[in-house]
Amino acid sequence: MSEGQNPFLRAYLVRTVEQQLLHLFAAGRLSGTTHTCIGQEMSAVALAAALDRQTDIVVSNHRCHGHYLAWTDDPDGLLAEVMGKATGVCGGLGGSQHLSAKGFFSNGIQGGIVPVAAGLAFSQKLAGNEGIVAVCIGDGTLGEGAVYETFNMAAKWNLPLLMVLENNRYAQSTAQSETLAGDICARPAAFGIKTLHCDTWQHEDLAMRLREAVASVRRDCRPLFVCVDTYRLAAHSKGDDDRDPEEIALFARRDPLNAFIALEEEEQHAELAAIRSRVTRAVELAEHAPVLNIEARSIPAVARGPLAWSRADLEAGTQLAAINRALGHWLADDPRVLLLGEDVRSPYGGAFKVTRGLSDTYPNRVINTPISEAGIVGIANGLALGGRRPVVEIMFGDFLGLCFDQLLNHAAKFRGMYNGRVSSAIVVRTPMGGGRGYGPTHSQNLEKHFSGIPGLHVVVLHGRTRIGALYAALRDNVEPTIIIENKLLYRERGDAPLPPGYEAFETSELFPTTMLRASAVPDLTIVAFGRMSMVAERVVAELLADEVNVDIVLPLRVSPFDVRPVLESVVRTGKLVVVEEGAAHFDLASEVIAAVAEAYRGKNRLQVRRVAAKPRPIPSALALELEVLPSAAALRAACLELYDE
Amino acid sequence: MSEPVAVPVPQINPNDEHAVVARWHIEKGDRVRTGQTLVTLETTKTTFDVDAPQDGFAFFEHEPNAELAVGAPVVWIAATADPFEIPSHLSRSLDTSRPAPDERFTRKALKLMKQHGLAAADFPGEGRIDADAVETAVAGRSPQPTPAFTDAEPLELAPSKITEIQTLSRVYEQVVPSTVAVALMCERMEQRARRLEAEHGPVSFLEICIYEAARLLPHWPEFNAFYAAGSAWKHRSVAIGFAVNLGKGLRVPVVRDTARLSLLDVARTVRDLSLRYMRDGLTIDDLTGGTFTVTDLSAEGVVHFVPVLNDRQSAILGLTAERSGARARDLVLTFDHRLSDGMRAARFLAALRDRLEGAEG
Repeated sequence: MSEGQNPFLRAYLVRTVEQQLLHLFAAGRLSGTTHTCIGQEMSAVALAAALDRQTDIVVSNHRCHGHYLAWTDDPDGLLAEVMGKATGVCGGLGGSQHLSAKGFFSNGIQGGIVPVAAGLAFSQKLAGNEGIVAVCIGDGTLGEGAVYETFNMAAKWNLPLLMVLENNRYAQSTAQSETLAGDICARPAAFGIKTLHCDTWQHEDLAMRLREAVASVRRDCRPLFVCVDTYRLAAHSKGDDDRDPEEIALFARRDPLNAFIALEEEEQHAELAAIRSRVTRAVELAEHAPVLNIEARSIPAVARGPLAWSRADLEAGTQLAAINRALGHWLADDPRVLLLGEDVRSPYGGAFKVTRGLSDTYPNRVINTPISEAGIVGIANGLALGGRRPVVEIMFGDFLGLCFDQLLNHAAKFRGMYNGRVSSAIVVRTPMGGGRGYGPTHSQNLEKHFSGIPGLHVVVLHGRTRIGALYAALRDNVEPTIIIENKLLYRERGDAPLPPGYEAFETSELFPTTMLRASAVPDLTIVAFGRMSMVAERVVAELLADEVNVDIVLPLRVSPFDVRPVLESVVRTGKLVVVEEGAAHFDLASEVIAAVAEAYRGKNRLQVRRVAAKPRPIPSALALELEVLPSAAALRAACLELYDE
Repeated sequence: MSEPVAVPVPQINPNDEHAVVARWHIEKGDRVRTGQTLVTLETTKTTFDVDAPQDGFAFFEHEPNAELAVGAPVVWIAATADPFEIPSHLSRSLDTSRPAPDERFTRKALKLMKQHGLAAADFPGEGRIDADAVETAVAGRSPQPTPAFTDAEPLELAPSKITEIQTLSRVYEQVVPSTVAVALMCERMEQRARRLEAEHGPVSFLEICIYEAARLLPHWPEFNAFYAAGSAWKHRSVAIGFAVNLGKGLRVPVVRDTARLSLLDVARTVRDLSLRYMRDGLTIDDLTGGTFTVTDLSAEGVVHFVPVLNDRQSAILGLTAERSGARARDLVLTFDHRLSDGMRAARFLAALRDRLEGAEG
C-alpha cells in the first residue's frame, strides 16, 4: 500500500510513524534515542518526489526517518529497525540513525556523511548512468569542517551532488544566532556552487524548486545547494526542548501538514485512518519479530585451527618499487581501482614517489586531491559504497588524525551497522616512522591508535613483506584496510640476505605471518612490527655469536591480530620480546602479550619484555630522535635480560 | 679549536673489533698537518694508516703493539703544544653501544657457568669460551691450569701472530682436522704443463693447481664449506686464497670467483696479487672472503707438511716439493672431518691429481 503522489499523505505517514515511536519510547518499549522530523516532513517528501528511484541515491543524517520513509515507503522496515528486530532494514544493528536500503544511507555523525555522499556521486559520475546523489544535512552541521572540504572537491570535480540543508534554526538546543556567522548560502556560493532557497511552508514552491535542482544537477553534472527553511515542532530527540513554547505554537499553526489534517473531508479521513492502521500493524509485526542471531551474523576476526607454514619466497627489489608495481598491476587488472591523494600524479608521484609514473598510464584514475584528509577518505568511503576500489595515499601517517572519524565512524562501521549489505573496501596507504629527523608530527607510528577498531583492518609492512602477494590479497578484501608503510623501509630490499643460518617461513593466510628461524632450538621469541623487523634481524645476527638463538615473528596484519603464529614459537621458548616503533604503553605489545598469556600452555613460566619508543613527542634533533626511538641496543639488552633469567 | 679532538680507530673490517698499533710516524707533541700520516694500525687482515683530520699538535699514549678497540681514540689533536691530560674515561672506547670488547664468554657459556658455579678464572688462556667449553669443564675434564713456568721466560710474538693465534685457536676449538695425501707423477704433470704453456703462455704450478681445484670444488661442496652455529654451510661461490710469505708477513690473498676464471685469468690475478703483496698494496677486500686455500711450500724443499685450516673454510690444499729421485710430489689436503671423511678427501685429491696429470680434461 502506498500513499501515492499526494505529498500530504506521504508526510502524514512520516509523522504517524514518528509519533508512534515517541509513544513507544514514552511507554518504555524502545531503548536508545531517536530524532524526529515532525514539522519538517514536507522537505523529505518533496525531495524524494523529485528524484529517480532507479538511479539516484539519498544520503541522510541522524534525523533520517522522513528521508527514509519518503524514499522507501517502508514503515515496516523502519519500525522493526528502531524496535531492534531482525526484520528491521538493518536487522536492528543500525537503529534509528544508521539506515541503509536500496539507494539510501544514513549515519549519526554530523558532517562526516557529506564527503561520503560526494564519493557516491563520484561513483555515479564514473558509472555514467546520469544518477545523482542527494545529501541532507541540518543547519547545525554547518559547523563541521568536512562539509567545506566537500564543497570544494564536489565543485572542483563537478560531482552530481545535491546538498539539501534543512534549516530548522536550532542545533539541538542552541539557537542558530548563537553559533552561525555570516550567511548560509554564501558559504557554498564561495566555492562556485549554485544555491537555491525555499521553505516547507510553501510546499508547492518547495517541490518545484527541488525538481529544478535535481534536473540541474543531473543535466550539468555539477553540485547544487538548496537551503530549505523549516521548523522542528518536536524536541531534538525526546525531552530536550528549551525553546519558547509560543514560538513552537506559532510554527505549529503555520505547519502545512497540520492544516491538511484539520481539513474536514470524509475521503481524507479514511485515507489518514488507513495510514494510521498501517503503522499500527507495522508495530505489531515488529513486536512479534525475533531479535537477530548476532553470532550467526558476526564477522569472523581471525581464523582458528592449525597453521600451515611454508618457505617464504622473498620478493626481489626495494619495497618502494614493489608497492609501485603492485599498484600498477591492480590499476591494470581492475578498472574499479582509483588512486587518490595529495601530489600523487606525475611528475611528482607522491611525497615518497610510491605512485611515480602511474598517472601517465592511468590519467583519469590517479587523482590529485586538495589537502583535505577527512574529505579524501570520506570520498573514498563513498566510492567504495558505490562499488569502486579506492586506494588513498595519506602523505604522512601522522595526518591520519585528520581522517580518524572517516575511518572509525564510517569505513569501519558501514558493513557491521548496515548488517553486511554493503562493502566498504577502501585501502588507505600511509608512511609512518621516524629516523629521518622530521620531528614530532611527521615521524610517529600511530598504528596502535587504529588497531582494535572492529571492522577496520590494519596492515603494517615489515621488511620481509611480500608486497605483490599482499596487494593480490587486498583484491578480494571487503573490509576497509589501513596499510602502514615505513619511510625507512622504502629503500630496503625484501630479498636482502637473512641473518646467517636463518630461513624465512610464512603462514598460508591471505595476510601471512612471517617467521625467521634458524635450525637450532630457539631460546627466545621476538615479535617485531614494521621497521623493527630490520632491527630484530640485526640483533639476532649479533646474538648468534653469543650462542643465543632467536625466532623472529613478523605479523603483517596487526588488527585483527592472530596470535597463533606467535604461540607456535613461544611454546618452545617461554620468552617473548615484542618490539615496535610506536610509543610505549597501551601499545601493540600489550595485545600480543595478553593474547599469548591467555593461550600459553608451555612448560616454562612465560616471561615477556616490551621494547618501544619512549612515550614522548618525537624530537626533531636526529640525535635526540634516535634516543627516543627503540634501538638495536635496547632490543639486544631486553633479549639478553630475558635470556639470563 | 679549544678542546683537543680525538681521532678514533676506524672500523676497517666489520669482523674486527680491535686494531694493534704497528708503528708511530710522529712523536708525542709533534705539529701535524691535515692528511699527514700519524700511525699505522694492523688488524687480522691488513694494515692501514690513520691520517690527521686537521692541523694541530698530536698527542698519544699507546705504544706499538698496544691493542685498541675500534672507536677508541688513538690520537688527540690539540690547538697548542702544551701537554694535556688525556681524559681517562674516554681513552677506552667512544662507542658505548657496542658490546664490551673483552667479552670472552658467549652468553650461553655465562649462563651455564652460573648454573654450575664456575667463574671466569676457571677458564684461563685466550680464545672465546662457548657452551661446549663450559660443558667440557663441567664434565670433569678440568680446564688447563694457569701456567707458571719457572724455567722459561715469555717469548715475544709479533702482534699479527697474536691475532693469528686467536683466530686459529677459535677455529681449532671446533674443527675436527684430518689430513690425507696422494702422490703426483711429476713427468706427466710437466707434460701437461708444457701443453698448457704452449697454448696459454707461461703458467706456474701454483696457478694450475688453483685453476684445477676451482674446476673441481663446485662438485665437492664439502670442501668449499664451513661448520657454524650448529650446522654445515656451503659457500655460494668458489674463492681460492693462496698463502704467500715473502718477507712481508704471512698473507692469504684471494682470487675471487675462481671457478669462473680461465687459466690465464687465474694466472694474471695471482701475479697481480703477488705483486701488490710485495708493494704493500693489498686491500682488505683482497684478503677476505676466501672459501678454500692453497699453500705452496715446494720452493722451500718441503716434501711433506700438514696445512692448517683457515676460519670459515673446510679444506686447505698443500703443495710440496719433489722427493729426490722419486719424480713424484705430494698433494696434501687438510679438511674438517665434521663435513667429510678420509675416503672422500682421497677421492677429491685423486680427481685433482688426474686433472693435473692431464688424464682428464
